[in-house]
Amino acid sequence: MQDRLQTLRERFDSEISAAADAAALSRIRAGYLSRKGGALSQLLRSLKEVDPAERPAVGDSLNSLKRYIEERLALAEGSLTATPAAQRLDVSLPGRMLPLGSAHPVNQVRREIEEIFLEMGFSLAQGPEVETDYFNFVALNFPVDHPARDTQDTFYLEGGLLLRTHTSPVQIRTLQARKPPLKIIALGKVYRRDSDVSHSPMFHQVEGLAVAEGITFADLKGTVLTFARRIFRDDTQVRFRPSYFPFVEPGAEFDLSCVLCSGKGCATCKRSGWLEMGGAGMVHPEVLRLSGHDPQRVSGFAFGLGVDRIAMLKFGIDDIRLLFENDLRFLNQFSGA
Amino acid sequence: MPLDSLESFGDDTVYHFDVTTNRPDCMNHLGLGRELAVAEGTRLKEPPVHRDDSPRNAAPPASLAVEAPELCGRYTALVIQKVKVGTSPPWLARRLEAIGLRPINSVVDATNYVLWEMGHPLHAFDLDKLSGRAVRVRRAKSGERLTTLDGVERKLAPEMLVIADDRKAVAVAGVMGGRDSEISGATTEVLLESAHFQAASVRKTSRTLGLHTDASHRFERGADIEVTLKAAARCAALIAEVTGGMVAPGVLEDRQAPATRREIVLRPERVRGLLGLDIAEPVMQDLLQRLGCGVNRNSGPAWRVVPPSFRGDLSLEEDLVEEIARHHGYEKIPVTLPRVFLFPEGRSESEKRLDRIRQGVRHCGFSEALNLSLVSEADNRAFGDASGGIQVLNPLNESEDRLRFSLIPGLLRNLSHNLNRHLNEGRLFEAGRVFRAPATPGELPDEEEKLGLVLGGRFAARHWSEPERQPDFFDLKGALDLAVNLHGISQVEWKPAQRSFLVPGRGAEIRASGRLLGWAGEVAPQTASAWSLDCVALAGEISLRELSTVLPEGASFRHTPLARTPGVSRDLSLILDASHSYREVEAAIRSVEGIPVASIELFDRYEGAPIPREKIGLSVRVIFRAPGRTMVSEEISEFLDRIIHRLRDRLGAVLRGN
Repeated sequence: MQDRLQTLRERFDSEISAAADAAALSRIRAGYLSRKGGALSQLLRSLKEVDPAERPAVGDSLNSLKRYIEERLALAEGSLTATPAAQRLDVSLPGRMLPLGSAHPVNQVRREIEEIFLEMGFSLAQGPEVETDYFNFVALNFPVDHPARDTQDTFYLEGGLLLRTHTSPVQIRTLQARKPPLKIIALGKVYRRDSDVSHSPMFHQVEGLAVAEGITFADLKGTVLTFARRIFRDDTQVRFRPSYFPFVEPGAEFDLSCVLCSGKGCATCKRSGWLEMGGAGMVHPEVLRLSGHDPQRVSGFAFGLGVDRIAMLKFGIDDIRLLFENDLRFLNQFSGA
Repeated sequence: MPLDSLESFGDDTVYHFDVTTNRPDCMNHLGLGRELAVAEGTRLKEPPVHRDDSPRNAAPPASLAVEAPELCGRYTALVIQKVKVGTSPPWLARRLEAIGLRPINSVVDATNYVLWEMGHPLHAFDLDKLSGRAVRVRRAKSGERLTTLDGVERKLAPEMLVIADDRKAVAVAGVMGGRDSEISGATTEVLLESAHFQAASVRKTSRTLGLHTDASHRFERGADIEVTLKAAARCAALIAEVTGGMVAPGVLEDRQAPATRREIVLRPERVRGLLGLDIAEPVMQDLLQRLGCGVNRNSGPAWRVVPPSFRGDLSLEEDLVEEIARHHGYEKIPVTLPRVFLFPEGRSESEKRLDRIRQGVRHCGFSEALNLSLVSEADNRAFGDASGGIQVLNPLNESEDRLRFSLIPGLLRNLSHNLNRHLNEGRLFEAGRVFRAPATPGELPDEEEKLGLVLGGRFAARHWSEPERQPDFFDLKGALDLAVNLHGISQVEWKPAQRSFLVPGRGAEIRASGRLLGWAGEVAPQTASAWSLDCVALAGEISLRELSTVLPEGASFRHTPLARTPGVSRDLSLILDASHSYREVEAAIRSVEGIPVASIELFDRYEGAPIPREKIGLSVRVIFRAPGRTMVSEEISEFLDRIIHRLRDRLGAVLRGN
């Protein structure tokens, strides 16, 4: 008897799921609940054939099935006919949440850069944005009246102070405060008297410094290459060219194979296939000596590159001034990141 | 030596090179030729020097005295007689024009030509104009004046080196000649100077006078002391050729600087160690020799290397390492990672806090801005820095000549920029440093990390189901509270406070544990209009440094066990003077001793009819919870009575409807 109830229930479920209109529902109603020919009424009549001991339990099951069928029918009939359109939810309406603000693209890239170097075992260091002549120049082997100072377009403040022109003073602060072995990066704002499509008087640099016994130029190349591949793409190539910065020797500039055209040549890389990225080299012995380290015992590499430039390349921004204009139509494009 | 660009000039091609400041020897054709020859493995063909220095013994028709040898290590001069000064022959004029120089006359053009050919600056004097036919190399006298070739009268000072005749200064040494002795159509006798001046002195003089010339550019980067006679001879021959003159026998020469012979110890092992490159010794030796270095390998593992005189930039072992690496090719250096394993220190606590704040306020709808740290004096004064802020001595423009004292001026500019582009509402934040002048001049200024928030517009951002409204103080307060609460600081006190840039009565100070964290409020109309804002604007700023002083100790945090007994809640609708704050109501309820208040929540506030004027209605829900037992209704009634009494006594509050 219980089996028959179960079969009946399954049959009902499949029929009601398939019912598409009111006529189908009324056929189902008659088929199960009608006093005369309804399937439940017939079962009720056959209850007397059941063993008297089991009869109460089977009766309960029968009633429970009847209630189930009545409720489902009512629900199905209601949803087809009774609910006016106005009472239904338009689930496509916006939900209740605040508009999500965005993280500035430069700070997004900043975090990404920091994460990469942290994973490579570098620590994070910081320094002031207003610096002394000593930390910004002298200790970096730019003596007073050195012509290389001309290339720095320095903003000067009173009292012999200046706005740092690079993050390199953090190298000195680190070398003065810590003993090798050390590996740090310093990321922050720097300032130069320059303003056009590709120059802002304030921009962001990241500086890397590794000093220990046996650090080589090859280590510098490997570190920069690893970083470039992590921040851009796995097949990025790095090219080192000789150059001059007073605080490194040998000195270099490095280029990346263009991240937009993979080195084939496009407008961004001026058809050269390469993008100028930054300066680097082996820490100049005078820099180590001035900060109290023996250049015969330890060696080091240092590199610096523009954070804004990385952000611009990653997000396809061609005017650096957009980064500091803070137009919400621009900024809010970065809310998903 | 990076080639910057190519440009055609008639049938010729002009190559632009980017020469770094350490390579003055390459700022000329010969020098670039030398580099190219090394790179290509060929030999350099040097320009002809027609005249050797044989007639040294003859007496030249002029006299020379170097009186400041510390600033002039060597002075060489030749005399060319019977010159007829005119325009240069076309080949000479054309070559000068190709590199962007204006031909002047045949003598001056010849000196410029040799400067660009050999890299050594030369100067030609009209010998007849030199009083006593004398050349004195001395420091300028105090107050001495000289009109330079550009027609400007220059005031000289004793730290400047000049060339003088026996009466007066006739040239600023290494920078520019004087007008009185310049070569003219009437010149018949030329004294050609080829000297070596001290780099720092030339640089200082050139900067003091604001006079940057091809000559000073080279001297300040370091000229080759050994080349003066050769350059003079080459140029004198050229002058004779283009003017029909003849070089007089005899050389004026005074050299007090010792011969330059720098010997650098080079250890091949060091080269390999620094580069991480296995490079053979014969390869190193060959490269150095091609660069013109003398290499002595007799002393075992340490070589003795003597660089050529024109390579003043080579003085250390590392300089030679670079030369070897450069000419061998940086691309041949392998790629490795440092074999140094360190446990990175990671993000500092303050950076982590800042990251959390950035995330938090973003989720309140604020977008992150980044502004220049450079603002105007007016910006600083308007936001509380009476000093106007730290001054930039050489700003790009007047509106960016101070370091910012507050983040708000920049953020309000951003807000105005956005609202004037038809946005209904703008919400922006910035986290960054602001600057305060040091107590002692010369010390570094105080750099303090702050969080600034602005919001404003015609309509607040809202859900479609809510009515339209203006943005208000509480939009801002919620975000600032969140920024602070994120760090486990729940007891934030907001007290009315006045600022010149806020609407009176609509500003607050934000405190926690007694420390002033910052301020917030509605921007005063005159300030808003100065920022071109014509709608309501709210601004607030907190110090992340102050915030870090009130953080709860991380280790002392303990959770509170959940209450097992149900709370009983009662609502009170109060009417009280509008001069009272909600905070006072809360404080009054909590001040009633011996009643178990679990929480107080404001659920409505209203003014206007039927509430009398100058009064406000506040509806609060008080929840009582006694640990471990169920309260009876008599108790609750008694609690309520006591609260109502306290509110009446302290604040004159009455229950609505009573």
